[in-house]
Order: sequence, then structure tokens, then C-alpha cells
Amino acid sequence: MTTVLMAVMLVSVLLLAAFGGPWLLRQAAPALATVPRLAATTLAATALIWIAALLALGPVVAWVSRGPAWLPAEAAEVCSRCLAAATPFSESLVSVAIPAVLPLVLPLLGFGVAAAGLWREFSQLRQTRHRLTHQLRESHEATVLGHRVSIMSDDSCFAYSLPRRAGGIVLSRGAVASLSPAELAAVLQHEEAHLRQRHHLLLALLGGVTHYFRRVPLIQAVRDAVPHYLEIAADQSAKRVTGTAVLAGALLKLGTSAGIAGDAHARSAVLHAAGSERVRLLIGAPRPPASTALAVAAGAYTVMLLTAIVSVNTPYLLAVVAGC
Amino acid sequence: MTGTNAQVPAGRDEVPARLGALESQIMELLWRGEEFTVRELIARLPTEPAYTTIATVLSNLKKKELVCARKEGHATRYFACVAREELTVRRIEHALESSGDREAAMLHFVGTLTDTDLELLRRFLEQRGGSA
Repeated sequence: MTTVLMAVMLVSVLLLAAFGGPWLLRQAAPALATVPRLAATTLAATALIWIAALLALGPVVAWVSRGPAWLPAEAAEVCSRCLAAATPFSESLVSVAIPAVLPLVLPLLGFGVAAAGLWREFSQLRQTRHRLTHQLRESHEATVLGHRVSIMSDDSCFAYSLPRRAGGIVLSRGAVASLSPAELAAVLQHEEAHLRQRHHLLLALLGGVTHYFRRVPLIQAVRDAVPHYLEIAADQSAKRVTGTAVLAGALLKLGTSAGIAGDAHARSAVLHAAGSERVRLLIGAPRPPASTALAVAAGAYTVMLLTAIVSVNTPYLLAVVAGC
Repeated sequence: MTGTNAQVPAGRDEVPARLGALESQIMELLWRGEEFTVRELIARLPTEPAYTTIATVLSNLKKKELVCARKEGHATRYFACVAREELTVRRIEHALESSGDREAAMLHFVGTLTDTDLELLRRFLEQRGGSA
């Protein structure tokens, strides 16, 4: 395999994943929903791996770069030696007339962009949680069925969770009044699972690292899907304690009174026209037979991307370790 | 909203109002669903504040688009044009607006449900004999 062929293959794999990935994820959703925690973690990892594979294009292009040397002579000499030591192929017949240092900057730029996204996400989350904590001043803390919760003096029905440090489980007075004790237990178990399994942290990391890559269809599909799988994971935890019918009853009561609205609802309705996987799984709706195979295919694709990254970066790593 | 002075409630993109003590007392009265003149409000408040104080507070609440007014003869009658629940929802939503990813800040119990989901749940529970 030549360097050019490797670059072409990497670009093809990336494009296929970027544009075909959302379809694959939709088809595989019924199977992925049966292992929601694994699905959420793997999908988040897939998004990160895709970005890493994109950045790996830089070192590949650097192998065929024959442009003017921009670095001082000594630094350029070291750089060339490292590139030559890292190249797993013989001399390429094709060359690109750009300085090799340019594509090598791509991974650094990518790390910078991901770090900027993380910084942005966490600073905005800090502000948001500060404001939400301000809202919670109008609430009072109570122990409900063994869980510490904040109860907001509000007759509308809602329940949500913030990270434990930011307030934990929040219920409205209306939700407490309208749910039966068993349904309340289901809601509390669900929210407790979010906290125990650190779902807020996973979403913050995913949201941060992928923020500046969110226009890529695959990344957007993962960002949309992961919260859904985390809800299913929390449902599974609640279902084990309270049973399916009780959890379904609580969802129906709070879902009906919440008056789900807005863009998120419209987008979600388009994606889940036959009902979301969360509810289909809860009520035991049969899943399409092909979805397991497609979930395996999605997993295989992720492994392929991972292999591409490793095969590009390992020679560099070995070259640097060996002192070029 | 029927009155000539009725205002359109604040949009969801605006900063939701925070209420002072007297504003809260007045909103509590208006949220009962009745319409009041300034004097009727004074009569129902525990502290009997001055007419101008209540008129000013009502004017502030109108600016915050929580209260609407309509003329009835020579009198002006005030009523709540935003429900208590709506104000709470707006406050929470506003708090979340600065976050690009709402879910990361707050995981909502019914956040990902659609109308179809609710219908499926309803049918499921009906089949189970309405056990919910």
C-alpha cells in the first residue's frame, strides 16, 4: 500500500462514516437500545475516534509533502529525519508541494479545537448550573422515599436531575402530588441512575469535544442519540426496581402534563416517527431483525477507524521513541 | 387577552422576570384568575400600601409582561397574562439557554418523549388494564 492509497482510503472511510453513519445508527437503534450504557459509551467514543481519524490525515499527507522548508535548517533536518523514520512505505511516486510542517500542524490544531470546545462547554455549564442553583433557592430539600431531592414550589409537573454538586434530583410540587408512591419511586430511581452512572459528565465531555465538529452529520447523530440511550439506561435501572407498568405510568403522567414542545420535540418526532426506542423497548415492541447485524456493522466500522488511526500514528510514535 | 392595553407575553428568548416581595404578593392575587383594580388589590394586600406604590409595581409588572391591563369605563383592571407554571418553565429554560447542550446541564425525565411515545404508553397501559 502506498501513502497516497492510504490517504485516499482514510478519506473515503471518513466520508462514508460522516454521511452514512447517521443512517446506520438509525437502523441499528433497536439493537443498540437493548445495551444502552454500552451504546452511549461506544457512540461517544466513535465520535471522538472519527475526529482523531480526521486529524490523522495530517501525518499521512506529511509523508508526501515536498514543499519549501519553512523551518530553520536544523529544525527542518530533524523534522525530515523523523518523517523519513516514521514513513512505513518506500519513496512515494506522488508528492504534494506544501511544506511538511503544515499537515503536521493539523493534529495540534485539532487538539486545540477540541480543548477549546471542552473549555467552552464546561464554562457555559458552570454558568447554567449557577443560574439553575439560583432557581433552586425557591425550592426546599426533602427526603422522598430515601432520596435527597429539591422540591420546587410549583404546581406544574416536572422532574429532572442536575449533577449532584449542582443540586441533584429536582421535583416539582405538582409532580409529587400527581404521582403515586410507586410512580414517584420509579422517577427517583431513574434520576438516581443518571447521577450514579455520571451521565451528565459523559454528555458534557461529548458535547465539549465535538462542539466545533457538530456540523458533521455523524457527529450530530451521535450527539442526538447519546442522551436518548442514557435515558434508556436510567429507565432500565428504574424498571428493575418498580416494574414496567409503573414506570410507563410515570412517564405518561409527566409526559402528558409537560406539554412537550419546541424544536427538540419536532426533531425528535421526525427521528422517531414510530415511537422512540426508549418507549418501544419499555413496552416490549418487537425489533427489526436486521438491527443487530447493523449494530455489529457500526461497531466494526468504529474498529476500522481505530485501526486506521493506530496504523498512522504508531510509526510516528515509534520514530520519536527511537530518536528518529 | 381582551383589553385594549393587553400586551403580548414575553417571548421565550427574553430574560424571565424575577419578582420582588410586593410583586410576588400581587402576582399571587392575580394568579387566582380574577381581575382587579388598584384599589381592589390594596384592599386584599395585608399591608395596605399607598395607591402610587401599587400603581408603580403594576407598571413594573406590565413592563416585565407578566400583567396585562384593560379599561372598564374609567377604571383600569389588571390581570395575569402569564401563568405561574409558564413563568417557572421560562426561568428554567432561560437558565439553560446559555448551554449549547441542554442535556449536559439537566437530564429531564420526559425530555426525549414524543406525542407518538405518549400514545404508545397510553395503549400499553390500557392493555395492561390501566394499572398505572
